[in-house]
Amino acid sequence: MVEGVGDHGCEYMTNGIVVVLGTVGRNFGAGMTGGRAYVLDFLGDFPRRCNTELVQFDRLDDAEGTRALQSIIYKFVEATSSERAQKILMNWAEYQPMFWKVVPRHQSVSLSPPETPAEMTVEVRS
Amino acid sequence: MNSFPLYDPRFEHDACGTGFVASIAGHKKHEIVQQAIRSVCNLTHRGAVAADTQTGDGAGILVQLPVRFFADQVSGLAGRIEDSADLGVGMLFMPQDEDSYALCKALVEHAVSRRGLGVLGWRRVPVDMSVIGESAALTSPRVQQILVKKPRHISPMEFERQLFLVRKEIEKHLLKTAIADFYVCSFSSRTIVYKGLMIATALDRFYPDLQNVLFESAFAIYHQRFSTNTFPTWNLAQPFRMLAHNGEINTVQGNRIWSSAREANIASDYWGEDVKTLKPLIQPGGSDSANLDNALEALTLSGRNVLHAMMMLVPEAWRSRDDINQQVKDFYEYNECFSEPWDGPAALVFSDGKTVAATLDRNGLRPARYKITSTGLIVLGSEAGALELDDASVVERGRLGPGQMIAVDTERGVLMRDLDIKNEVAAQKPYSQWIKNIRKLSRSTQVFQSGESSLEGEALVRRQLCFGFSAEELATVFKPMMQGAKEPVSSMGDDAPLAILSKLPKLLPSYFRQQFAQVTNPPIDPIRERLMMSLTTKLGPRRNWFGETEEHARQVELESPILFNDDLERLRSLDDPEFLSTTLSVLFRASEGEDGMRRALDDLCSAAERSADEGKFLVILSDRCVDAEHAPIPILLAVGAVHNHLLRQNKRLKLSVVAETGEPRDVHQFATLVGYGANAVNPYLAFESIRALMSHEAGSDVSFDQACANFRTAIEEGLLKVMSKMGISLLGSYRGAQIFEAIGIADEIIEKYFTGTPTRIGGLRLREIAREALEHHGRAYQTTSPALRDEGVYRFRKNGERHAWSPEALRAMQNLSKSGGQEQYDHLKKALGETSPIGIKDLLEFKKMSSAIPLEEVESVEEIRKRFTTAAMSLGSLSPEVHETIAIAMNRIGGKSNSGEGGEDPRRFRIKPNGDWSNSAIKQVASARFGVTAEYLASAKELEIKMAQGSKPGEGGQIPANKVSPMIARLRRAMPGIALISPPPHHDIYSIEDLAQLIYDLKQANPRARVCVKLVSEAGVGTIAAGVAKAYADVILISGHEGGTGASPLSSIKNVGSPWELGVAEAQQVLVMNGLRERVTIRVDGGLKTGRDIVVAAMLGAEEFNFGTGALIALGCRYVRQCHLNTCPVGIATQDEQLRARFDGKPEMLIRYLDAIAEDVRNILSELGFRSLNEIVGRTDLLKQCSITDHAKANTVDLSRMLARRDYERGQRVRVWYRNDKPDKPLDDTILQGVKDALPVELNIRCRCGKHGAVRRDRGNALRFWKGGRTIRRPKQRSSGGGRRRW
Repeated sequence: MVEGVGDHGCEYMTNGIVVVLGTVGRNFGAGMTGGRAYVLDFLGDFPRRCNTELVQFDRLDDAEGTRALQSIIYKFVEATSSERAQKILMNWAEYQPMFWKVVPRHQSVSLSPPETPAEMTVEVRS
Repeated sequence: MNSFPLYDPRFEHDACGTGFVASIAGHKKHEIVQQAIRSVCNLTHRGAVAADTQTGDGAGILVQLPVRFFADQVSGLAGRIEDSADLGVGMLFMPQDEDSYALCKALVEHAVSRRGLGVLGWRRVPVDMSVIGESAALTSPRVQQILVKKPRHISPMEFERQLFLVRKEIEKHLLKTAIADFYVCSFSSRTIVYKGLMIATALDRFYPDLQNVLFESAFAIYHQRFSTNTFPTWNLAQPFRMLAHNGEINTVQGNRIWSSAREANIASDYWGEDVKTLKPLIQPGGSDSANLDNALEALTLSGRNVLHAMMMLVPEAWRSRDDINQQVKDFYEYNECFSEPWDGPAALVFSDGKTVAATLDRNGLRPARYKITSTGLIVLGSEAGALELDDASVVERGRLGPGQMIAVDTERGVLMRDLDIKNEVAAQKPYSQWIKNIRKLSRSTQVFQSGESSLEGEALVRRQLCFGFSAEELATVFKPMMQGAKEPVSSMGDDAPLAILSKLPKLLPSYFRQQFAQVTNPPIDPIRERLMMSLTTKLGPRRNWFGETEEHARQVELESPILFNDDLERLRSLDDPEFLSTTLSVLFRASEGEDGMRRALDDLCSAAERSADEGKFLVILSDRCVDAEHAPIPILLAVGAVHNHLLRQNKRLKLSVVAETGEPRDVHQFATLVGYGANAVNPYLAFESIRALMSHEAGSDVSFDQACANFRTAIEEGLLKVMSKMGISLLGSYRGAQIFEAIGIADEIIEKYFTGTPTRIGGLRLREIAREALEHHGRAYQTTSPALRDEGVYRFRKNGERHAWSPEALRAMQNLSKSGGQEQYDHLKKALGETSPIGIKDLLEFKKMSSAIPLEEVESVEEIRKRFTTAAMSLGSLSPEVHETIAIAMNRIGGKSNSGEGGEDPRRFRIKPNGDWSNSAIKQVASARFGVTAEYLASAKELEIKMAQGSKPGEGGQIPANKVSPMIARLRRAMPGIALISPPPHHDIYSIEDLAQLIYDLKQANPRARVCVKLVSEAGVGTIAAGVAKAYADVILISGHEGGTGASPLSSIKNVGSPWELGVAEAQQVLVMNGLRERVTIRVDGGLKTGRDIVVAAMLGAEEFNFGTGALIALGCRYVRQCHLNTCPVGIATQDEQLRARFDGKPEMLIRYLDAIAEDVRNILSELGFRSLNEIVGRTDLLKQCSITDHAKANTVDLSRMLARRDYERGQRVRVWYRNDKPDKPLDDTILQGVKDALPVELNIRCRCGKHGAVRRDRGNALRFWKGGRTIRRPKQRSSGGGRRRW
């Protein structure tokens, strides 16, 4: 869970969930074969920044996934008091359409159920 | 001959930590200097320290010239200069001995006054010798400053140029004298550099000047160095005159060559006649960073703004950026016309004395983070938190992205951001207008020109034979490239002879091996990070490097260096008087043999030179007209000859070289041509062959043009991969960089045609090269019924190329491993030994220097077996049954098996009820870190960091989705059924001190384990081994090129990596020379098979021996090379349930084989009169080269450099240290003391341990170890490597 990444975000990713509440650099998702990523695309240029050799991106469509995402962001707020994350949660209807969900192309049919929150690691950058 | 002939200083590396502190407003303050010194002290963990614990590899700072300080220090100075810009100071390292000192002093004064500058005086810089280490003190120079006054009539900028010329003149004079210990740190009216061979914390104690409150500056650049050697080299401490560099310039070989080629036509109004003094542009003997500094300095003083110059030298990956201005892209494109990038991981901090700036390389492989405070201070560093700042005062924090720049103009008092800088520079000249001159040729969609006739039937076959084509190649190499646009993949190692030892004639490129990056610089990923790379090729003259005119852009641009026939014809017939070309034939009369070839080469070189003089933009070297009388000069030789001849004549930049040739068809052959200077290649015979192949196969679903386009794509991707192995992104920087090592080429040939390429065992002279070319030619034209043969180069064929693992040898091994016994082993030895040599070891025999001793006195089989290990073979490549069998066997005999990448089932960490243990003693940590958990690390006796793999160094790997079973997925913490990629580099190891940090971390994670670093043999591996020893590894594994593989590109298996013999010998020499040998064990692998191999390896320097292929064959492998297909017929290299069931190997089989080898070793030892292996380690004097009967080619090899033995008096031949650990007390120990009572009861621990800044980054690892260790005893509890800690 981060508020922005540089180039090559989620490169070689194999498992788990990544949430980016902000801009990403070039070549996002290169070599990503597993797991999934949510990217909040403020600027609307994510499609250009994503390397679609292995992954595809869609808008949030299922209610369950959306709830899981919200719960992750909520835990992030708890752990870090991130202002940005709070703002997003409070204005969800406004922000939800800006999210992309990135998954490996061949895996999109049968996604694993969302990981239980107990497994989640919140890493806070100093 | 030098005493350690395999050591070559060209391969030295260094890398480091760096950064700057600056006042944005440009206020000069002493505080800034202090802060920079504090920052560099915080980078101590990035530097290396020699054995005396005080001699660092170097530290230093670059600041603005503190004029007030000098006015205070030098009495009377204030009265003699009117303005602060009137003073120039040279900071000099001078010889200690009085005579040389006097000479140097006179030389400097002479150079200064010759330029019409006045000497204001000398100042001896006070130093405190007590704070530096013993070996630094022994070589410490006398530090002197010379003060120079600016003449009234010249401008400050002109003064700066004059000071630069003074320095250049001094340096030139010095090259002519024998004085080596004189060096100019800086000579400027703007900046001064204080640096030396100390650890960072001693910097301002060594130079009390730095503590003086008048010593002030608006910015300070600092640097801490880590180098691969231990020789005290004061000069190579950084910063240099303008920059400090953290990283590695991978392209430096090419940059040096092209820079010297450029000297012929540099000109600038600023220099006038003095331009002569600027040559050489690149000072010989400098490090890569020093060379880049030379280039930056020359460009800046010749009129470019320092930011502009840096953008030109280290451009970003602009082609793939969509967020920068078109104008900026045009600027970069324009520069590409005459300047090749200096490419490689780099965080660069630089200044011209007014502007201080930092930039990252195109891949952003080094970090650069910055903070800006409300007081107008900016601090930037390659490490976060280098300087502790009050958080309340920080108004902005950020990091540079790939290729980004940030700068402070201290004169104007402004901070400049990336896009501002670039837009400003790009707006200086009408670059967008100028680049319209570039003629872009898009690639052709049709191979042949319309109406072109093609070769048919016999004519084609003759032509193919003439260029050494074989039936095997058409089937194995061409098909995958034509159909799938992919290079062929294969498995197992290369067990065929080295080209120089083969009895068959070989093509010249097979005598060259690709170099690759390991440890000191990272390879890059050519697939996933393709957008950083480019194959764009520009043809035409490269004009004056100092100038900028519209003319510079008059070039032809190609999308790729691989040309269809139609592309070449279009190049030939460009209707433009500026773009005229000549075609030169590269044939010689077959009847004239060697002499004919030599004459043809000489003629070719003069003809190419004439073309350059005539103003042609292109020479095309063509072997199209080959016939029964005329044989082709090997095209690589022709290209190398023309390229190097033109370089020597200073004419190389006037034109481009294109090869129109029948020879190249695999990636390596194209890579050698480009690497030795070809701008583009037209492989016409490859296309003809594709046409013929397609006509045989009716109903193919791809068209001929498409098949050729696929072929071209495969070659292009292969070229990207070859470049990426060296960490090079742009073809422009790879071309002519000669990044190869010759194995089996005589020095004289290298000297003349491949200048500068390392070659260490001699080999082919022109006579043998001609003979091989004529042999091919004869097969083609001296027979009535020509036919392509299958020579069994890739796999065994009767009457074909010799392979070590012949059916005979495989059978013998199976008998041996099933039943044991001396007789069976002798069969195996005989089958493996045969007559003709395969590796260098086969050219060696033992020298008997003492009488034999009874066998009973020799150390036991049990002792010898402890030195045996098995190679890293992962659970993805081997079936679980085989993996466990090997581990059990090795544990039974006290050797070590290796888990390979991808984790190991925790149930194997426990001993089985029957006493067997399937826990691999060595656990591998590879680039993807799959399966690396605290428990995994804690279960190991040894941790191996894989930096490269013998069969494909510099490349990554991938387990295809269908091989990822639930078990593999569980161990790798991934999902079943998804592909798992291992990237080429470790993304946290971009330089040697990164590796040092990982070693340290691993030792914290498991304090009982030794740490091994796996390297692949290549020229320069010794230097890297020295760096690894300094990074506190305990074991260094040198892998030979023969190493096996589960799946690797065929051209990598065949053409990358050197023989282990050379690698071990070089590592031994360089480690002994540096006094580091005693710290580490050298382990070797790469096709070891018999006791004799072991003894040879030991004599060359190895102490432990690793078996891969041999171990598998003992367990039943039939060497069918299907590992990559998941169809292994004996159930070894497969995950398929049914096939796995067929595996019937037992631990005893492997043990029998290893016992037989150990016994063989004992016999040899007793015969030679030694009691243990330890006595012969490093004893190359016990080896001599033997001559091979009936094999003239093999006898051109000269192994004297490899066998040279010069020990240092106090140095050791073998490891004597028990462990090679960093001498310090980890912070973790302190923390552990505090929490040890809490550990057994609760996992939720909160602890306060104060601030530890950037110095300590290892916290938590040891704690994880102890927890991980606990889970071994309590199996039901989950390991908790991450999750619930809170600090």
